Amino acid sequence: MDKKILCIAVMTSLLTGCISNKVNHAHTTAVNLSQETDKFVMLSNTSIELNKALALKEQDHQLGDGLFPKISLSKTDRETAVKYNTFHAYDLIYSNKEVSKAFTKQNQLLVEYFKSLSPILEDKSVDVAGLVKNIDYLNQVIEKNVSEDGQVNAGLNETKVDLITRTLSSGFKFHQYKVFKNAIREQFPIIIEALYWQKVLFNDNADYISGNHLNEKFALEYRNIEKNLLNQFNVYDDLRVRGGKPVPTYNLKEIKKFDELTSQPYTYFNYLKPVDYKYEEPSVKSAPYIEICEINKNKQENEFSNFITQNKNNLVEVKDVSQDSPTFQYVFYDVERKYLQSGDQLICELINIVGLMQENKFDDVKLKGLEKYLSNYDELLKYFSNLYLPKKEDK
Amino acid sequence: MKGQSAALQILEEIKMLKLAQYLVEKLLPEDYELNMQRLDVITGKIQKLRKVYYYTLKVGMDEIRTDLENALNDLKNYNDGIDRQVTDLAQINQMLKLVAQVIFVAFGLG
Repeated sequence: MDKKILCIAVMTSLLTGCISNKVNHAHTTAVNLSQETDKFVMLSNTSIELNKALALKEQDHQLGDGLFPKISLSKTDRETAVKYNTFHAYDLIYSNKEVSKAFTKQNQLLVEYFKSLSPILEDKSVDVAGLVKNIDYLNQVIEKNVSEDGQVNAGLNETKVDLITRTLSSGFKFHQYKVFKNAIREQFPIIIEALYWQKVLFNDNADYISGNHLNEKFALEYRNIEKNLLNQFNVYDDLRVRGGKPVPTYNLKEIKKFDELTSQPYTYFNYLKPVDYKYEEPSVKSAPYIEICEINKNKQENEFSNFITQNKNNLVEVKDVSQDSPTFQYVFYDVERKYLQSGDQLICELINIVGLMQENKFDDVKLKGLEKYLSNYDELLKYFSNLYLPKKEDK
Repeated sequence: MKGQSAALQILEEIKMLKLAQYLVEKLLPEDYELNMQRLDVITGKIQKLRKVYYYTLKVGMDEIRTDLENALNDLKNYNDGIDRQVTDLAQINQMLKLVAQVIFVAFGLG
């Protein structure tokens, strides 16, 4: 009998340990994911503000283009065209506001959803031991198992009570886990759909940014510094040719400008031997990730080659004349594609995590990558917010 | 096709048109009238595509908001369900104790 109890105790321990591990792991993942979602939503909310500002900038541009007089049209037609453009601009700005509101609402719901997910698995402190003892008590009363001094004798010893308590507790935890899995299975497809819309928002912002030609602006600023230094050199050189003795000054304001440029989150590319900073793909991919995020290798290579070609006009030329056989180097600096990639990487990581949870692959969920991508995107978003969002004192 | 991938495709087209717009703007000094006509066409297309883009987003976001609200309600119901079960268990516990005590007294076991 004791052997049987011992066997059951061992099996129960294994089973309860296994269930406990599963539940705790799922709970920790859900809690951590909720915290990361909070951070994500904060970034998304800033993205919405940035999107509004950039949409206004685009409409300003489109309206501005519409104001250029077209000689081929009559004055009445030209005025009609301006009125038509005005209506469109109003309509689009209004639509942008509506969509922004919808994204803000979505973010609110996402935060609330993830906050409500982990409580399903929380320890509910059910008094199972009390329940077992009371059932035993009732049973002994029914069986009239009463001692001489009128006290009800316990039918179960402590080991048995403990064994039954642990089994029942695990049973309840397992029930919670099943409810949790059920919720995920039913609802995560909706969460993935919502995150897919976030991908659209992030892409829209990246397209707006690329429409602002920041790579070109960077190259122009660099070239300006180069030109200023060259001018300064020419002044010294002329002086020297005329027999003077130029004394260089060392408070070069160009250095400050370089300092500003290097503080910006640009990435260096060698035009002739470009190396692609590819997406870091997750080691285990969920089905939603494959459906929404996985990019065909050929397409990726084509996109990269187009990107390099599009930056042909943003090159900084360098020739090292101190070498025996001097060769030109062409480099450019990019922030436009980096922003697009960074946003995609973040959303896709989140989609993958949610997808893995939906597929019940909790062991493959790693939040480290998500933390890194959140921080990368945050850095870029701060940079663009600083450029395009009104400063607090301007509001 | 899903609304999201349609929206992404529209964005891709807008991006291309904006690049063309930028290049044509640079060509204005060379042939003003011709390039203004081109700009007109491009700007018109961008604005129309933007309109379709926003429409796609509005429809999709409305739908997903309703789905998310329902999902959140369902999740709250699951949570409430578990809390109710915990309360039920506590009540059953009390009930067992009470029934046992009643039987104990009623049958004069003490």
